[in-house]
Amino acid sequence: MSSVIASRMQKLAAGAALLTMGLGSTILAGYAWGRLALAGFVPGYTVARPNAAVGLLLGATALLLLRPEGASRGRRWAGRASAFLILLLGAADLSEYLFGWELGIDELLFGQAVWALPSPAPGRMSVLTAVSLVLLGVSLVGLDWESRSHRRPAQWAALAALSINLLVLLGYTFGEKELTSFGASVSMSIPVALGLAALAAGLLLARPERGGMRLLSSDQAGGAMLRAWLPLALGTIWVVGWLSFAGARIGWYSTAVDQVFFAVPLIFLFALFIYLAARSLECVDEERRRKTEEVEQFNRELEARVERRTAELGQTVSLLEREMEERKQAEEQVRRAALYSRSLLEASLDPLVTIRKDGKVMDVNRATEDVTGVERERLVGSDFCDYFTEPDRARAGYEQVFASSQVQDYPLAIRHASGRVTEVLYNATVYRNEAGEVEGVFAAARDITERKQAEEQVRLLNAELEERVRQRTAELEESNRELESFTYSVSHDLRSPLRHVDGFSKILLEEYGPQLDEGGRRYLERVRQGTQFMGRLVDDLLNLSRVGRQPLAMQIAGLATLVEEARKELAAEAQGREVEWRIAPLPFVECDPGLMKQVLANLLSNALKFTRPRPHAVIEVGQQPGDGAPIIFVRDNGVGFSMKYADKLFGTFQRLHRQEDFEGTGVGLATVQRILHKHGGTVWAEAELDKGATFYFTLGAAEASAERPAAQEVAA
Amino acid sequence: MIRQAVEILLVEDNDNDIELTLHALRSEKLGNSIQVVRDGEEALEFLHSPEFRPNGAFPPPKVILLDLKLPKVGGLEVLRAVKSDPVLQPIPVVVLTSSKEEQDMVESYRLGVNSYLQKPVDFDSFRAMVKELGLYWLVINQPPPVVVAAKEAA
Repeated sequence: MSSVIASRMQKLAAGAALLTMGLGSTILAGYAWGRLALAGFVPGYTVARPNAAVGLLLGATALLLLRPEGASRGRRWAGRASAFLILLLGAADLSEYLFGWELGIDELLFGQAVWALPSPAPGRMSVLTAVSLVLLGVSLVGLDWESRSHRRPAQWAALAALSINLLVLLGYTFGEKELTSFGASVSMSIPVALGLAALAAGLLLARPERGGMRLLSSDQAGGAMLRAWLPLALGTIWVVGWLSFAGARIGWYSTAVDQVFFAVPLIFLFALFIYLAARSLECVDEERRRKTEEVEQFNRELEARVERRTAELGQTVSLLEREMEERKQAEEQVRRAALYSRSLLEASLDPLVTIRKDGKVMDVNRATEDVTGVERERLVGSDFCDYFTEPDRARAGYEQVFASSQVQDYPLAIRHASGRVTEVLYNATVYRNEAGEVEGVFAAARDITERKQAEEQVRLLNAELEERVRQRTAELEESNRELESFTYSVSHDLRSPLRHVDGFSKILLEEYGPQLDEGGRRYLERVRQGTQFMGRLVDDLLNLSRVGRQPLAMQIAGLATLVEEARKELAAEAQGREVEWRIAPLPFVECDPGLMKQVLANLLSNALKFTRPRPHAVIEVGQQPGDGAPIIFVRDNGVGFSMKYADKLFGTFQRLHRQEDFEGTGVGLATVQRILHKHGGTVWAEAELDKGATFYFTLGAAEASAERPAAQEVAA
Repeated sequence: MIRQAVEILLVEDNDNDIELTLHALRSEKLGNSIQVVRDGEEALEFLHSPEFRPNGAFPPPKVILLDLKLPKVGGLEVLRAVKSDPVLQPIPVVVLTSSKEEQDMVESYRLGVNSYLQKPVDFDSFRAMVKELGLYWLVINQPPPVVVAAKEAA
């Protein structure tokens, strides 16, 4: 159904069919219950015949079945079968009238009741009914048949049936008996005429968009007018006619006057209808004319504009052609530049990629294809994160670029399609369009597999080295422990026999001295000197080793005080000699005071010892500015030494003088050096034979050693 | 069995040292009642003998001269045993040793030694030291009251 109107008409068709069916059923029910009033409606009027009722039922059934256009094949055939039966029924009765046959079909139903009806052939339907049935049968059978010129004979047949039955109904309305039978012996009954008229109307409405019905269902002006005016005109005429006839019959006026009564209102009414129709046509026409004028005006304007535009276009075309030429040249340049950039990108061994804001890959270079094992066509548009061992980290990476414009050395691992993993560092920046808006991320990866391997090797080597250091440290600690137990043994066990030798020599000398001669006594003294020297040697060595092992007890101490204390300890050595001490102001330093006193005592003791041949000894202690920490010196005017042997000065047991001239164990300066090294300082000497010696030392000093590479060399 | 009061208990294993120490003490007239024991075990046996208990026959020694390097029970063990015994604890203990090892000194003082001396190699110095030692502990120093109580009881 194409329109609302058609759909409504279809529904009306169904309603008409149901009405017909109801009428047919009422008639049959009247016969069945013996109340023939139901078959005639008005007492004294013709009673409907059962055959006609059957015709109504068949017709209604056929209409219901055939009503929807394009019904199923089975339904269509059932409908046509019903229609054919009506045709057959109508034709049979008609043939009885025409040829005087008696087929015996008229009294098949309700024979007893039918025989009682006043008629030569009591069961036979009227001629008009038979004709109507034939017409409707033909119409139903050929409902969907259409001629080449789109005419529908079925509609003509239905219209003819409708006209016949409306005339019969008109006859009943106006009380004109002739109209109800058309001169035949048997007239048509009211319910049958109603049913057949409804059936015919239903047939027409069932195909609202076909043949002549197209106009009625049209949603344009013609359709609307037809739908509005046709029922009104017909109804008015019907009512006016009925009124004039009714008035004449009652006797208000003569029959002649009744025609005037009938004609006059009709004239006025038709005049009114025609006027209204003409006016509506005029309106439609006026509207159309105005529309046409508007269209023409519009067309003219359009043409003018087209002409203007054509002229303008003519001018711009030449301009465009020039521009096109320039554009082409520019494009060629751009293309060349792009090709150049592209070649640069492709030449890069680093995988390069551009990423959109949604994380999709926009472009890649050849290196990216190689490292992922995926072709460019598949890479572009895919998710950037899909190619990494840790997609979440990859996503966090480019999101960081979008957030802070760039990242540097962002570590990720690319997974090749084959599963191979490449460790890379990503450097990426955002890039912008001409408006300065961020368009995406440009990211370059640097393969660091080799670096990683190198790092791993370094790590392994380091671990190995650390292990070796640990082993060596353990070994050293072990040997340190051995050394400690050795020095302990030396300390204890080596001194005991020395003591015994000395003790018994002394007792021997004291108690048996008189029994020995001078030589024996002198030898015993030599024994004692030897043992006592060895005792000192052992003590000095133990001291040296203790200096090496003891941790420093650092504090701030005044060097002047330490010099003074050391000088007091040496008072015995200076006894009876002319010694001039020149002690300059000395700084406060951070040191282990006990050990620093040992240093000073050793140096001052040496100075005293080697100035012994001088009648007037001068010993000087002072400081001079160094590169970092001040340099402390101890100077004497003693016998000095040759600088040739300066390198032997600080070695253990190294002596530059004969024992007979200057006693000593050869451990003192070694101890001094060890103490100063432990403080991070250094010691050196300058001397000239017979002109005295100067010992210099520095302390503390990370800063001093940094600024004095030479000193550091000595210290090392 | 102790037959007489002992003034000095010398704990020393080396014959030479014993002889030199006794010689030095005798030459200074300090060696009248010296008991020599040769190891730590013997020393502890001697000190634990019933004669030295409160109300025993004799008062405990006035001073113990203790070498550190001893067989069986070491000197530091003897020192610990003496200083942790309520009866023996007041007896002055002087460590007399060749060693000047810091760890020995630290440990001795921790255990409550009364004096720590290193034997010098030079016999003259040794003799001078022994003299001062004997004079100090036997003559100058007032012995602890517990010892006096024991003496009175005897």
